[in-house]
Amino acid sequence: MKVLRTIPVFVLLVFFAFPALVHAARIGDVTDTDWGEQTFRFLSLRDAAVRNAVLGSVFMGVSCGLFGGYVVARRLALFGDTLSHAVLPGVALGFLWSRSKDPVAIFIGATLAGLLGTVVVAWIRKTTRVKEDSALGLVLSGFYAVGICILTVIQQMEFGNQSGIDKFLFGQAAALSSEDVSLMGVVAIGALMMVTLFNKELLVTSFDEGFARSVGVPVEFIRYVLLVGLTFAVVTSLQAVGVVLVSALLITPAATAYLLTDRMGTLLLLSALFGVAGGLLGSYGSFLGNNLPTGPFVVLACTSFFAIAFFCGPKHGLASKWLRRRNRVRQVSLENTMKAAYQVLEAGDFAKESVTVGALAARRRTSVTEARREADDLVNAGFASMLGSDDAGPRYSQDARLFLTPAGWERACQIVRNHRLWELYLTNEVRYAADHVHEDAEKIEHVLGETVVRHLERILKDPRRDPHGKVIPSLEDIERGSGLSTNPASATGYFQQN
Amino acid sequence: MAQLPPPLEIHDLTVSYDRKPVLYGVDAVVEAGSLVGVVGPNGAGKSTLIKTIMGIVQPNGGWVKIFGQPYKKAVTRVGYVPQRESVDWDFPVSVMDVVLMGRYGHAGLMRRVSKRDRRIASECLEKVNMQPFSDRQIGNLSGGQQQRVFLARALAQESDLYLMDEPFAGVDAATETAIVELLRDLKERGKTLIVVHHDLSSAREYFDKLMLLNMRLVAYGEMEETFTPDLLQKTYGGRLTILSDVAGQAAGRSEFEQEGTPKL
Amino acid sequence: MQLLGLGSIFTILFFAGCDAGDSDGKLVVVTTTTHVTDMVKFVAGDRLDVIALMGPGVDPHLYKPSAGDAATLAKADLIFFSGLMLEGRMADVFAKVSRRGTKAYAVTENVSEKSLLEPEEFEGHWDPHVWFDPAIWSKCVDVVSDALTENDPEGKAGYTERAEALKAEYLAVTHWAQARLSGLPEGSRYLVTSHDAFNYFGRAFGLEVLAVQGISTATEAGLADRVAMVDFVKKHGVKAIFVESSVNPAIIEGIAKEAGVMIGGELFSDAMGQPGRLEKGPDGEQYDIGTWVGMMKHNVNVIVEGLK
Repeated sequence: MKVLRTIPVFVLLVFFAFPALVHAARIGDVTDTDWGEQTFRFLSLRDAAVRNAVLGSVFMGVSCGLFGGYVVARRLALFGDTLSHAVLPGVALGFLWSRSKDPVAIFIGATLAGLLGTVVVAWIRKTTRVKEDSALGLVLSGFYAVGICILTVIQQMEFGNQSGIDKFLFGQAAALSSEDVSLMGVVAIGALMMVTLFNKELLVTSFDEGFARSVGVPVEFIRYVLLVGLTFAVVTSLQAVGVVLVSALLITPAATAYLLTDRMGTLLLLSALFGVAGGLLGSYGSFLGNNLPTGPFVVLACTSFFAIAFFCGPKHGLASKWLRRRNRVRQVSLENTMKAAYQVLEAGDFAKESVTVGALAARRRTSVTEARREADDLVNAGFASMLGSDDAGPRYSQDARLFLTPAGWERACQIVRNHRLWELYLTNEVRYAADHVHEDAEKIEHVLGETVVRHLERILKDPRRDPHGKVIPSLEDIERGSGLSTNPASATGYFQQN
Repeated sequence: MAQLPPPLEIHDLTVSYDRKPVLYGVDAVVEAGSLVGVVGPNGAGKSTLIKTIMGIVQPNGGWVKIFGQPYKKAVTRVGYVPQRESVDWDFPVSVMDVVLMGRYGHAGLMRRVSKRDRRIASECLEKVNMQPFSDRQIGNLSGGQQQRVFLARALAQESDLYLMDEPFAGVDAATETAIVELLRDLKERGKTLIVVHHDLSSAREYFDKLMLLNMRLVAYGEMEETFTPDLLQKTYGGRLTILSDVAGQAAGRSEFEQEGTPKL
Repeated sequence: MQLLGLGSIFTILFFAGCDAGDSDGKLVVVTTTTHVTDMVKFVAGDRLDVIALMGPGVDPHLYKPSAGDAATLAKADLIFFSGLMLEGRMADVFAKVSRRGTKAYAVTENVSEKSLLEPEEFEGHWDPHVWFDPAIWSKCVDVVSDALTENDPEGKAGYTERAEALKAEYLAVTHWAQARLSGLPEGSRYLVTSHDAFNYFGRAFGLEVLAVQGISTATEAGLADRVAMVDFVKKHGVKAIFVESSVNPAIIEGIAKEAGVMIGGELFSDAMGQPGRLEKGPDGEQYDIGTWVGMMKHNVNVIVEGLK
């Protein structure tokens, strides 16, 4: 009992005897990071840990990017995922064998497990009715489960702590050693060599395997080369990003590249670049703050590249498509206004030089305000000039006068010509009913190219009038008209001669 | 004086999928300079025959010799035009890339394609009127244009024996004419052509010889001798058919019936 | 016929389930970590069978119970675990087991919150590494002896006696440790380890404790953290840093290389050594590193040798 009573005294003694030094924590909680400082430090590469992470990211980006290019082009994405999960038992067994986190033993174990997984998938497909996707899913989950079981056993063993094997699931880039990085470098160089040496064999077997076989390309050999390379890339990337995320690294940079190019060579290059960029950006991002995991940041970086390409890619990006469509719509609207102006002038036998906004509104069947807006657009685009009203209100716009510029006149004639030629063609050659041809021509008029117009004129034998009896402006008319500046009268004079 | 071995010699060829026979005891010898159409009902084994000749499918019995040798040794002498559906049209390759693939057999493992290879590829594209499309991605073409690219690729192989799997399927009239002209031209130059064809009526026009196939070889010979109602009946709906594929028979029969009586 | 078969199966299972008690009538006690096992074994003496789930070198933060473990726990009469969420992945199993009626005791259940430390990163949770504070750990001995007495009243005398003896030992070790550690010079009182397990130790014995990973080894060490640690070690002239027996040493080894500092040795943090393995300290004294006493002595010796 005496002992019991002395304990609190001692606790207090301890507490007071050493007052100033009770400072205990995780390093991340006691140090402050300033973004600017961290950036500078990252870029200077003076810490071994940073150097390892950077080099590791670069190598990993190259390997995963290059192999990923083939994975995506050959539609092997699910296979890539299966492979990354199937290597887990190999990692665990490699550790068991070497009793330490020897990278070479783990590498060999993981590779063998990956290859075994592939063999099992092929075997299931060959001998049963089970299709490829189910076979892959089976192997993915089955092998992964075996891996987890082995890990559970390992954790019981005395040397179990040495594995850090839990880190293989999500990666720990901060723990990369120079041996790990060297191994990654070897694989990256191997990937580069493979892609260079077997460039055309890989291309033809990916595109058309039957044909490849027929020209004597060793299809099986190439497939194994790709498979082994893929396994190596996956295994060496496990340390940095972990089993769960490595398939993202295989697929995302390549998918991003796929959005941006139509050539395989460019795809591979871009894929590798995005892989490297993602790795660097991810390492940098995780370095800026405390307690930030590198693997997920790398994947986030790669995914954001994809998102940017998805929205803004020049060919297939959403934003580009939207912009192109908007431009087309605007173009069509301008052309319709010009055509209406021509028609108004024509209705007056080209006696006047200008068109009032009110007449335009009537021809276009819109309000005066709307017509005024269209006229303003035309002026802004350089196809016309306007006189007579600085006030945009409807009462005053009514009488404002629109004069077409040479460019506007030329374009108006072209549109009208296209429309009327097409109507004639439909009526005469294709035997459309005359009352149906107008709508069709309305659509076609904006997109007929010069070659087709030449062709039409030849077929129709250089016609002068359309099915409704109106004059079809010929090319000479148009050129002549535009050469005589804003005086449509001269052009119409030519018409009237006919 | 030993004669040159024939381009194609098939002996007792038997192929099965999942224990169902697809080809059974096929014997044939095709001489050089033949323009052969291979016809038969659906499931008759026509595509399988082509694939077996090329070694893509392994036979269960019998053998195939190309110019007196097994396929592996005669690889560069055989040109192949596959069925159009078998390809992924989104694949990032251009028209020129695809035609160049025809030269890979000549280029050799791990080597680059040479300038000469590119020139030949270009010329082949010219022959099929696809030169202006050299840089287009392969999916950005019409059906007929795609077929012509495949033809150009086969031409680029500079082979002596050409195997084609339904090259006329789903192409427009212009392409069809172009292909027929090409076939005739190749035949003039002494090449041997074996073409799987889907349409009986046009087969008569396009080919000189006919191979009637319905799991067994029903007949092979000059067009006049083989295009007879008797043999056609045997091929498309006779008692020789072991396959009870009703759809296939119906398809064959309706094709035949559309003809009316074939003109002799 | 089928009903008969089914019936016999159920009967067998029923009796098998009833066979919870051991053949020789002793209570079966299951413990989790090595620290808890050591304490319970000492207090229980011969009266009970103690089965340990985790052995030396096993990390309790990450430990996932296997099916076999679940079966063992189901057969137990009593369960002792460390508590305060140390066995992070076993919470479900404990809940299930206590619902079935088996008594599960956290040895830390009576520790008052005032003496516990709350880590910055996990608001609302406590730092569970309390065995490094002898005062707290002594309190836990009482929990064990009370629980055993409650379930086996006949052994009360023995339990109480042994509990007192254990606490006396703890006190002796505390004095000894203080004496040794107070000898360290002012500027070298830094304890740098893999994960943040030594807060209580630091508080009890006046050392500044710093770690790369957090309270639980499940967290990942960030890149910035590792670099910051190198900075710290260099700046404060830390003489040695330490690896732990249950955690991967890779990061500490890397830091040591980069900062040019030596690794003082391996400490026992979340797991102790092999029971029965004797080690000799620098003063010639031998101790069993599989016991709490031996573990503390080992740790103190290693730290003092490294930092002096």
